[in-house]
Amino acid sequence: MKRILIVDDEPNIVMSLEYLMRSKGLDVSIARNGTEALEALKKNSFDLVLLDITMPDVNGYEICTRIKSNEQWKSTHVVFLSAKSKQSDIEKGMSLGASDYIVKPFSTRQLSLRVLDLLNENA
Amino acid sequence: MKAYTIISLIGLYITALFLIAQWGKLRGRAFINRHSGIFYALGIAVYCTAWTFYGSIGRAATHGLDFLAIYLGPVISLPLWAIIIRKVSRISKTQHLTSLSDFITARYGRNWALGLVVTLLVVMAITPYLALQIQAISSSANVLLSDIMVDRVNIDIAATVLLMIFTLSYGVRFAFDPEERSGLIAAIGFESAFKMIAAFAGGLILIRSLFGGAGSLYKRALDAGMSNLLVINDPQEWWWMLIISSMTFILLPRQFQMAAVSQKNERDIKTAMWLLPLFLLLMNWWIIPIALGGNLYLPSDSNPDYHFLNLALASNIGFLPGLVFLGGLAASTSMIVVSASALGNMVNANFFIPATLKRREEPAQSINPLLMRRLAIVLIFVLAYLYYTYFVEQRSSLVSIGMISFIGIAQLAPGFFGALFWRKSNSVAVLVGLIGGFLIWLAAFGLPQWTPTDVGQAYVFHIFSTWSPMSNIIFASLFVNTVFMVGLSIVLPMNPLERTQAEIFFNIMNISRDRYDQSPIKTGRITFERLEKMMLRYLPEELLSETLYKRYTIMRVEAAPFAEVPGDLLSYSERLLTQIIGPVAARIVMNREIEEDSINTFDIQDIIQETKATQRLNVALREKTEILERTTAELTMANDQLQAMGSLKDDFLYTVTHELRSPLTAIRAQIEIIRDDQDMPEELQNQFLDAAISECERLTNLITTVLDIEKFESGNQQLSYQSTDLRKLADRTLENMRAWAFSEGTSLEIDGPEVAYCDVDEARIQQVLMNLFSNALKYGRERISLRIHQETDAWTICIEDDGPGVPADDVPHLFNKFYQSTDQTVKKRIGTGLGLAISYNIVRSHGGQLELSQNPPEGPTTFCITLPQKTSSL
Repeated sequence: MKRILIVDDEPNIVMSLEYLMRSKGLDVSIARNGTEALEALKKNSFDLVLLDITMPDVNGYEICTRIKSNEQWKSTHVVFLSAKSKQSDIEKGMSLGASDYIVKPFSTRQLSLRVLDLLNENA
Repeated sequence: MKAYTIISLIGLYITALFLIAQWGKLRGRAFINRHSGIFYALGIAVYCTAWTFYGSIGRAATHGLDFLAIYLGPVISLPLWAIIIRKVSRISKTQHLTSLSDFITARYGRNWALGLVVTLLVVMAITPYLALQIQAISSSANVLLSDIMVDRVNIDIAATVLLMIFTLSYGVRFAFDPEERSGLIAAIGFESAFKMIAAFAGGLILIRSLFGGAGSLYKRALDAGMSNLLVINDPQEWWWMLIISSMTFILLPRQFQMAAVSQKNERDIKTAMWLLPLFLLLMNWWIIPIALGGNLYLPSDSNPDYHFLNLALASNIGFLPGLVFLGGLAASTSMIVVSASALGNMVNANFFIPATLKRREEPAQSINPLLMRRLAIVLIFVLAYLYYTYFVEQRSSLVSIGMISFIGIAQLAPGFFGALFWRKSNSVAVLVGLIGGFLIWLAAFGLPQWTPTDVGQAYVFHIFSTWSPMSNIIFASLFVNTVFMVGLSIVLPMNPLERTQAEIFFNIMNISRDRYDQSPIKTGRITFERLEKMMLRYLPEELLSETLYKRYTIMRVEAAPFAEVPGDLLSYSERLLTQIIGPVAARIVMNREIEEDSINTFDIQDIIQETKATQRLNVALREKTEILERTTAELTMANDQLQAMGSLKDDFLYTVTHELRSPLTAIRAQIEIIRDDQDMPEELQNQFLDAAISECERLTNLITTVLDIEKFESGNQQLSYQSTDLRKLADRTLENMRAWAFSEGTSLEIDGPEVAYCDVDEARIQQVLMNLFSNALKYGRERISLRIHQETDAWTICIEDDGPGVPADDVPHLFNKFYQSTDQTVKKRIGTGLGLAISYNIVRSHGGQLELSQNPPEGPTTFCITLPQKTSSL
């Protein structure tokens, strides 16, 4: 079973994403801020991370950079889910090695398709 | 000192003088121009002659401080001098005037008689003074002489001839030849510097080595009963000499030549203002000690005029007598050269040239004005030498001749100052006054001075019996002079030429130079061919091609031989002539050569008005430019601010949209999931819908707050004031928060008066308190306390928590919209990031203040709001 980590500080968004991903048959872990995300990454290996950018402690860019610079986590897909909609923000996210950058609010159908596509690539 | 030593010293010095003048003429010009201020001041220091070196000491040795008036006068009147010299030099430059007599005759209608009297007076007053300098050279040389083989060196004739050659080389063409002027300025500058250094060093060495310091010298002098030499002995005369010397500091021909004619730049006056007093101080401080020392140390029969030299000899310091002697020589020679040059110029312009012109009815032959000027200079030297030979030997002290000369020169004062400052002063009046003063001076001093002692008897009279004879004569001559000059000026009419010149002289500072050139003093008809012929008769051709022909180009004149010369070029030609032959002769020449329509009585007032208008326009333009520059700077700043505000606004909008996106995301996700997932349990569906509703509430809240902030910031928010008990309000807020506080394990405290009435918008202030409380709860650990206390006309509410405090980085941004500390690791952030911003705006709108008044480590984190008790002021 594919493992996925959801990182967001908005409880209602986390709740929705968790339900959505579970219903697609994925093993879901939750992190409510950057620190928790890094801890979760250390404990388990994930196939994909849904990553918010604006978080009070460690921001999403920083986490993505860490993931991509770590040999163990390199194959992990990062999909940014962010309210930051500026072209420069998107470019920055993609340049850090993310597989996709989805602007909030998003369509849950599209998100699910995208996530499943990425997970199948690896398989 | 051996005779040959003395002669070679003099020879060496005069050779050096020639070399320096030549250097100044050729290679040193750039240097002199660069330091024109210093050279200007040194040039004016020609004021200090052998009188300073020898005569003053003689005077001090017999009359105490009386000599000081001669130097104090100029120093005291220096600010006035600066104003006058600025005006005089500008007039002289624009009108091409090269001497004091030019200056006076140019102003007073080119009156020939006036020029004659002025010149006669100056020659009579100055020639004895010149002779005196020759005598100083000769006598000082003989004081030095200690040769068994020779009992007298006759260097007087040789020195006179050498100085004459020097003057003929560098003192003839200075008015229009910048090279020659540079040469003269270099030489005089050197002489002044040399005499000052010699005097200063000589005085210092003697006082230190011979007298053992000034203190012991004064003590001994007082013991020897010389206390009368430390005071002014004739205060009456002293005051008169003070006045006379401040006048002659401008009026002496040599002063006029160095200060007005040889001035390179008007700003050099500023340098002279500080350098001259310094120079005079360094030149004079040693005079009293030397005079006292001479009286103490030298035999009583020695001539006090030569105390300085005799002391130098007595000191047995090898080089000292030579140094002092050369210093005195420098003082004498500089005076001789400049005075002879100035006098020769005056004699030429007022005697020789007019006489030549008047004699010749048909001006077919040309004259050589420069040759005539040289002849005049030779004449002055001859006259001075003759005076020295026949008269000087019989006179007693150097200083008395000097004073008589000063009083004679002072007779020029009424006419001179009238020329500058009184438009009505009239040529005839000035002439009559001058003759009056001149005659009195002549009777008392002039004639006796110019006749062998046994023939001439001084005619001395007493108006005030308590005054000295000299004071009486000074008063009488100047009084008669001034009364005639003023009285007749009021009565007599002026001719048009004089009136024009009076306006120009009076208003010179308001007339721009270009404008002046364009304003013809006279009109008339003459062709270019005849004008050039006429000019060539008096001016050397090379000068003409340097001046007049260049002028054609500048003025864009087509100089066709039979074309008529325009008026402004005519007036330029007249000024060119003036430079060489003087204003009186120039007028005679012009009158003879030109078919005159009439003397143009052009209205000088028009020019002045025009110039003033231009100046006003310039000032206005400058002001406008300044305003424009200021406005530009302000605009740039405003633009920067706008851009900064624009980017703030962008940031704000971005943050707002970002904040809106989060709840929207949740809502959309929840609804879509419910739509797409048919198998979703109903319980979960309801949970999702509830969450969506709460997100909608959050959105609403956010929008309201943002709008509120915008209203507060734009000042559109209306507050509904009512008298409110802040204590009750605080209690209520606390109650609302208690449940949350309890869940966080935080205790709440309140402290303050039971009642605290204040005019506020109750709902808004409650909002502020809620915000501050939730912030405190967010960071506080165990205890939050609220304190209310009263100040004068205001209430302060402070909310305190025991949290870690606000990080220093955050303090400046604390009240910014959407600013949330980056340090929120532990607890989930609560609120919109707008709490402090809106609170800040609310309190400000109440006319109060919200501030972070305490921040650890000093104590608990404390936010305080201060609210005015009454709203009346709002």
